[in-house]
Amino acid sequence: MNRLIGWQVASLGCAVAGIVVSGYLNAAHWDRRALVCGVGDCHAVQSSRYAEVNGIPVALLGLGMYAVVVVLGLLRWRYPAWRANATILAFAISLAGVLYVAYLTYLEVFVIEAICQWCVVSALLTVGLLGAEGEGVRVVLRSGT
Amino acid sequence: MSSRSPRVRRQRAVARAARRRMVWRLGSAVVVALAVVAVLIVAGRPENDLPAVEAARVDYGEIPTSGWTLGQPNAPVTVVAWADYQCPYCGVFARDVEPRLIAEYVATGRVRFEFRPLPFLGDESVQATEAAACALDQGQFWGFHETLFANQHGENEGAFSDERLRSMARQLRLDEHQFDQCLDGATHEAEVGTMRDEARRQGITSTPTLAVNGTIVPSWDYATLKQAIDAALAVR
Repeated sequence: MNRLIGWQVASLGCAVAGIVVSGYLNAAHWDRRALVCGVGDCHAVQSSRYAEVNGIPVALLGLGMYAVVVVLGLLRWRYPAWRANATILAFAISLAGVLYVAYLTYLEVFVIEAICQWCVVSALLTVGLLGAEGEGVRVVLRSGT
Repeated sequence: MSSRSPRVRRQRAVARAARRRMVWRLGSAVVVALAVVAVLIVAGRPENDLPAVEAARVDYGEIPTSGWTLGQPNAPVTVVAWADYQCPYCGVFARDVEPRLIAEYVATGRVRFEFRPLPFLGDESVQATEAAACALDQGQFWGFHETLFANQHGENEGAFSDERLRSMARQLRLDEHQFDQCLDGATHEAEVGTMRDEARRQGITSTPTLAVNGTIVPSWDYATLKQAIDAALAVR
């Protein structure tokens, strides 16, 4: 049986936690009463004009990103020959995630003028994901496989 | 001079080529990732840049208000207006006709003006009406009502998004927390639905529709409305 190493565990951990958070935000997108917000104003963010991209909830994009990274993580664990390509792909996806999350955070702070605590948690998980996958890319490039 | 064997050199060359391919793939993946982010940002920008929300200045002086009604409760004439907050002609009525009606008849105690929402133009009509009911909970219905009509912008294009409704509440100095809870909890969903159903039961099929003492006025322009009110006052 193949063993998961540190950065792979970190990546899977962040991605699974991200699925939980973005899954909750998706549920709250359809039923605003489900949204519980202790700090900030999640409602203002979730109901803003920026909460959807062409009718697709941003939270659903996040859910898709985390789900794909989990699938890639499991694939490279199960099939070591796919490790390099899966890691490069997961790195690129999490890089896109971090850049997009940076843009969304800018919107929250300067345009919507409200912070959504769950979005902040998701943003931190995306940064964690990029950190883990960055380490993965470093390992893959060094080993050449 | 190198002491490495041709086999080792070949292995290293193969490894270097594999690494180059990997770097190439990594670079390509990063470029695609950047392109995807750019597309998401462009696609996610609202289609229209709406003007900033501006609260209407409302000063009805000593005119009594009660719920969706403005004016003396015992006024001899009652004018009812059925309207949708997104309907453009309702906006014209609210901005041009309503102030004249209030100044000439409501403020003088001769007319009691009642607003009855008929939100039928889509989600934002319903949401705006529920928001107005939330403002009513805080005794600020009329200010919110005028602000909604002052900020009309197309139909279901974001003019009455929750974000902008909150901005209206903020500008009117409503208790934001209470307003948010009311709006998010859809506190007045059933009430607004009942009002809409009631209007339909009464045969109201278009907005704005006006009635003077229960009789539908053929047009909503001020001259026609004034004529109907004066006729109703004359028979008193």
